[in-house]
Amino acid sequence: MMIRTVLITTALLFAGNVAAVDVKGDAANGKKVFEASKDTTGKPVAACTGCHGIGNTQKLPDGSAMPQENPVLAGQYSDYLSKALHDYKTKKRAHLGMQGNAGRLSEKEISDVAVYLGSLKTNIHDLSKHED
Amino acid sequence: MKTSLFLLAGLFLAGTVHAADLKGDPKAGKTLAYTCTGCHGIAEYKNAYPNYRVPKIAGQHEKYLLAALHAYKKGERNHPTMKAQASSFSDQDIADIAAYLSGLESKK
Repeated sequence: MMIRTVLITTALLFAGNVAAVDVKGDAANGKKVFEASKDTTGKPVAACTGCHGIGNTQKLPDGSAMPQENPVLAGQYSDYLSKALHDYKTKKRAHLGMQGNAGRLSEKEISDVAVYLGSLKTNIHDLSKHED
Repeated sequence: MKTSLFLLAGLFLAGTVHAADLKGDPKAGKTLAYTCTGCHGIAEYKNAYPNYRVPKIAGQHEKYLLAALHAYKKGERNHPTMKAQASSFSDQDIADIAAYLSGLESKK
């Protein structure tokens, strides 16, 4: 009984880990959402690229450099991006613009955008390469 | 009278722009950022709850890192560990850490 419970608990924990890392999404659709300038009802909205740049270029659609106040998202972990978007959507994280933007995204669109951004080559990285 | 008003206004202004205008020292930031490596220095390292990988912060934009750390310090962002870390830092520490992290080039 005891062993069984432990096994089940371990399995559940493990399942939890895997699920979190593996954000499943459609990167091609995520790219569309990220670059779209219309919401699902056809209403024009600012595209993500207007603040976060196109792909991993750090350039805005008008060719200017993306503002340094805005985070680089290309290559960030997809599950962290998904968490951040959910935090904005549920207003746990403050930022009026992002609360509105994330609030317009469906669950599928959040996953798609997160997977798309996570798949890009990146200029950001973890600190493990800097321990010297 | 006029002079003291000017002085007061000057002091007030100096106070308000202070945090944003601090110049970060990457060398000091490197020492301070040692603690960060506990979580941000392990590739694919997962936050316990909720469960997601701890974000990549090396090479991130300096001004964003400043904003994030100040938001944790003020309690506007509520990750418990990050709140605790950021509230232990002075504004100068935060500027130093942001300068260090943003200046890291990828060593692939």
